[in-house]
Amino acid sequence: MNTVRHVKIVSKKPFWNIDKAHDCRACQTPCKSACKTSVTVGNQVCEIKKPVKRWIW
Amino acid sequence: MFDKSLVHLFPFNGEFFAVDVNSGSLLNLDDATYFYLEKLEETDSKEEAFNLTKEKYGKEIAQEIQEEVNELIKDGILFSKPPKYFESNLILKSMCLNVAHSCNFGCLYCFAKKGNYGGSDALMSFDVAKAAIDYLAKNSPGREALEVDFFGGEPLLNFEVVKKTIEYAKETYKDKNWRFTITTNGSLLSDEIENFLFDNDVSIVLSLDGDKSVNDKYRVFRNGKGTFDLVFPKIKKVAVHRAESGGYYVRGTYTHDTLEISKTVMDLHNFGFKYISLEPVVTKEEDISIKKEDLSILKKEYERLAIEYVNSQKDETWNFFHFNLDLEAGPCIQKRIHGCGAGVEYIAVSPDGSIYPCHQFDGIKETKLGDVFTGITNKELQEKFRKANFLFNKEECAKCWARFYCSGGCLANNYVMNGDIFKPYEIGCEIQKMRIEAALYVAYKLRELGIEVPTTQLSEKRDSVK
Repeated sequence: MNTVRHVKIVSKKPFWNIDKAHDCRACQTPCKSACKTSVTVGNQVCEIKKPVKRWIW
Repeated sequence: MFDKSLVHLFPFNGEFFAVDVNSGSLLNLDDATYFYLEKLEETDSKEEAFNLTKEKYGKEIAQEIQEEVNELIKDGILFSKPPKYFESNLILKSMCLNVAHSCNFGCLYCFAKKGNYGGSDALMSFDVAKAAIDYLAKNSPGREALEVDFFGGEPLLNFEVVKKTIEYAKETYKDKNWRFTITTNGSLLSDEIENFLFDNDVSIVLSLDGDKSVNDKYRVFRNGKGTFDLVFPKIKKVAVHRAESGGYYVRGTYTHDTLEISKTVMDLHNFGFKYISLEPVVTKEEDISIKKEDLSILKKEYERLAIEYVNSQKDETWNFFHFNLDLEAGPCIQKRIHGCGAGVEYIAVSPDGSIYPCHQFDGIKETKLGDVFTGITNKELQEKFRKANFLFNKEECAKCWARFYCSGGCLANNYVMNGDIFKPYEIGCEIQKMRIEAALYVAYKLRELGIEVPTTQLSEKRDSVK
């Protein structure tokens, strides 16, 4: 975390942190995850950026 | 310029936060900076915000804050411009197969009207399931990964078709990367079924609302008797079997009558479940539906849950789905502006082969898009869904601070509650926002403590952890 005197930067511009041309839409459809009755997109994981050591598609 | 739709400020458990809506930056603030930013948004004037901060905290502090905030604005971390985006060409990739319009339970809140979606009980034949798989494989050009969720009713009432469908898809379309999920009430689970599902990398969503007293309020057999005693040992067995691999979620529903969600989630955790999800019911039924007056209770509940969640991670890490917000590896902006893809990227198929925009539309005749034998016939309706999936086509969503987290909300909820897929379901939105605030707090605290919560993504293959 980047701390100045009054503000701690917890996360810096993650929506802009795109390291490859996106719109691959290879990530999970929200209703295939554990929601089923409400769209939860913010907590889905990007197929390109996701950590390696986990179940992989 | 310093609009509230650009920076969202919120206090949480005695701490203060700012989310920069367009960049997703998350900041933890001291109280003076929070005050300054609040005044900046209220007055839309740096000078006035400075003077008000000076009055309250003194000149030196006010100057320091103004300098820091100016720097953050310059760096595009606060009040940033909208990210670059475009309307994606959504292509089919995901299907809900409603293999059973029938259920052995009679849950009182079920949107599927006790499993048959308001029609007659029916099971999907293998011929229909096969045609659905063919339809998905042939209408998803360029998509390598295809997702299929077996749903109902209770899909295990039709397990033979589930089994044959998985085998058919894998054998027939070897070039596709199949991702399977099944959503079950757990009552018909056996070792044989779980072994088949596990061996075929089928993720599983297990329905359970909490401990016996909570679960048995609404999750009942047709004779009204509670289901907990039957399903709990079976669900537990699956969770134990998948303890190392993941690939499951225990998923509950809460109602107006069961708002103590922090206790419910912690109970589920204390039962030994590692992956947990709990969702609000969406219904117009007066006794069950979440009311406006419930929101203040829920806000406290999510706050309590977030605090307990963080504390409990110090002993043993586990995952609550709605707090599973990855600040770095989250979805790209294109994903965030296109919602769930219902009706276009994602469809549901009923036992007779009818295609609906999603599982929650199944049985609503006026939303039928076509069938798996002839394809989409109601192209006008599909076009409407395509438009509704684009966040900025929904007026209220376009200016909401949470827009890049919920991506415009659930079209089915909008339809059920407001009769219009473009009109957000207000109570659902409020719950979504409080969940996001809690998730952001959790993400901050876990990062501060250096704790990594285990993640599992349904429909994944287990290759990397074998």
